[in-house]
Amino acid sequence: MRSAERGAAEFYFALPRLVAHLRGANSDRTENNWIEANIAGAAVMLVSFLAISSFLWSASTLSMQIILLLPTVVITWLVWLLVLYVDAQLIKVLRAVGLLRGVPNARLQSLFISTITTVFACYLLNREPFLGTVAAVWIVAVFANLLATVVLAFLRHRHNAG
Amino acid sequence: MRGVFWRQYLDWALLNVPFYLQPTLLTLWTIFFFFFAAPARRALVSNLRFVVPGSSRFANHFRAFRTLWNFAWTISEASNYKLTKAEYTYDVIGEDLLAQLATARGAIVLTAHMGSYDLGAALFAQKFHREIRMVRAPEPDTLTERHLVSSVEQSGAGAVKVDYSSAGALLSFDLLSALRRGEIVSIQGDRVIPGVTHARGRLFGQSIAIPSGPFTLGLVAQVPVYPLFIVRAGYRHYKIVVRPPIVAQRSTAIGRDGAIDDAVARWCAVLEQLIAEHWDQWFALVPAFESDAIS
Repeated sequence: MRSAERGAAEFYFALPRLVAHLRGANSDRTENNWIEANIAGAAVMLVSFLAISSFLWSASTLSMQIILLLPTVVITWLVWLLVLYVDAQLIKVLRAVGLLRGVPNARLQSLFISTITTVFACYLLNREPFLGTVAAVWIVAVFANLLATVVLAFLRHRHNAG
Repeated sequence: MRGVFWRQYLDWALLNVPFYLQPTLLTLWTIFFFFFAAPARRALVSNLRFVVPGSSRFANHFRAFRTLWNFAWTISEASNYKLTKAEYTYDVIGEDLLAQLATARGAIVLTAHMGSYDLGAALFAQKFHREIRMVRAPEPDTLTERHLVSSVEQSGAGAVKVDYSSAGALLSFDLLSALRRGEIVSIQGDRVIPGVTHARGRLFGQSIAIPSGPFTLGLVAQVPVYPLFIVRAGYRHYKIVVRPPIVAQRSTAIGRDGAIDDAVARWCAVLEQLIAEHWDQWFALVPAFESDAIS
């Protein structure tokens, strides 16, 4: 990670940074945070897996669902590989027309990934209670993170001005 | 599974995939390679038979998966360092020995296909501002080899120079000159490729071919051979393990061959201990033991 990214308060997960800041602890979190790396990635995969399986299995019996479990994991993986590739091409196009040139690829990808996962979560909201709960947790976490980004940016601005 | 495509894809992913999605994708790719890189999986299962005595073939498949998973992490983290200069933390086991090595006027670092030796060389060169000549076995695929060499040299910011163990006698003279000039030469001492001089050692009670070049060089140049391993200890965290140097000394009683055999035996003892502790990071993706290589 480059030093400019390390210094950015809005870097990826603002919510745990804000919590740490409010508790008076060190809020300089980096990519070296094992928990963030694993939990966020697993959450993205879980929400997308549930959405894809819910879409594919809607009319399936329990035995069919068990048979489809492994293929659905593979499909979820392939969907993400395809999404990441398409996003990368989209980023190239954006750069070619002069947009977002100063933002690293991985951060733009992160924006696309969270948006797509939130779309998956919205699809799950009106399904079974368990799926709806998982989706609601994701959506709340995303919005809390966005809010924390704004608060941290404001605090940083105030700190710099003061 | 040997083409350069996979290495290029890894580089692309490290630059384009956010860090938090990498662990999950890396695990899924490990599952893919576990099934489709069958020769590597079979070699790991076969080697583990001797490394973990009394182990079942079924359990060794899980151990092989764990080893491949660690392999995926180490090559990803080494590439990440090359591409983004990502931060890594490390502990040193044998700090005084590492300090000795850093100031040594001519020394051989003997390592194994264990943990992240590429990353280790780069970190060492960076920390101690010393140049390293790294001798490695060539990859079966030429493009992959070129990619790896350029990665290692890029990670080391010019302080790590790669040579091939298959280069023959000319390389031996070149390395001898380098050692006499006070340089550090790093060699992998757990695998022999055809055409490279070797000695017989014993590992986990089995016969194994060990390259004799490092010990011959050490003997001729009269420099110490430091066993050094870079073991992955967690997320972006490594452990550098340095063991007391092996000094091959010629005497009239045992002669040159005896001195080399003695050094090889001492190296095998160190290697066996490290592999026993970190069997899940011994990336011997070909059959290592002679009984397996013959069958």
